Amino acid sequence: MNNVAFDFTGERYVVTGASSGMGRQVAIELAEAGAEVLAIGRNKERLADVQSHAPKLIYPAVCDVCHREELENVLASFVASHGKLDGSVHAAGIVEYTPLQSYDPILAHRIMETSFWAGMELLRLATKAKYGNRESSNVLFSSVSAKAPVRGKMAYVAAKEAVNAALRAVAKEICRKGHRVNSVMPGWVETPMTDAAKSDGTDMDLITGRTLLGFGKPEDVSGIVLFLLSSRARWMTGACIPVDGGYLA
Amino acid sequence: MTEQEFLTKMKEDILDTEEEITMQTQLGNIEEWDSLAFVSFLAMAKLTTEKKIEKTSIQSAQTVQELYSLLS
Repeated sequence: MNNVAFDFTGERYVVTGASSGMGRQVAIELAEAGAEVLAIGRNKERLADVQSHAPKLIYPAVCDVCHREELENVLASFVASHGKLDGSVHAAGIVEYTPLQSYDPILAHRIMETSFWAGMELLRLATKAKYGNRESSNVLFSSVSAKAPVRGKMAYVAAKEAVNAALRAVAKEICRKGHRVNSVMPGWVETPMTDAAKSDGTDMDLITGRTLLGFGKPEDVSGIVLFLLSSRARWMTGACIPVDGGYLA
Repeated sequence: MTEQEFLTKMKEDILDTEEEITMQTQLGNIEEWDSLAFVSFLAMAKLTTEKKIEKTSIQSAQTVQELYSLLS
């Protein structure tokens, strides 16, 4: 039972990576709190499942977030029919091994494109006068890996730290219209991404030992995201918040 | 870049405003014409012209038309 409730009635948000994991959880909880949500993902069936939680408030859109024009079209169409956005959440990301001596450059660039550049593009659009209301709140997904890098995942680690670095510069640009941007750095959460890590050679014993409160669930992270989007966080911008069960302690 | 393309670029990207902008608009009357818009204009100019634009020329521009003239 939660002892905190949010009310986003009458507000509108866009969430990327909404078809699975933490993005999915954020999209569902935003809708449960009354917001209209543009839920962007790559998998139509999984997005339909997300929509089934709140059919009148969740609007699924299949879109590759790395495709700038496609992303803007989806967003423009939502804004035209529902109204301007009050914020955005960039949860889309890819995690794969890219060891220095044998990395796939195409994959490495794709990781950076998805986690970092697509996040910057989403932020650019969501804070634009024609798409976003003033004083919007925006959250980017970073990772504890930005602060405690995982061996063999340089592209992922770099992308997640790039998010943290860039948002501090961007916060100084977008504040003139009251917009805010923060990141969350989740630790190890039970998601399809973590399931994949269990079988790809990641040292899970080491990770388990460092995660003081045990592996988290998507809802252990979504609460912080909703808080950052809410007016209770109106004095927070340019911050990178670990939500990691003690992993970075 | 045509005048219309320039006005769209100024309104939607450089100034990011919903106010109406014309070539005659005084820069001093635009709330969004600030130090950030200044560097945004410089970045856009580097992309659209090979001409070197002095910062002082931008600083002395009074109207949108005068900014446009710097690009040609």
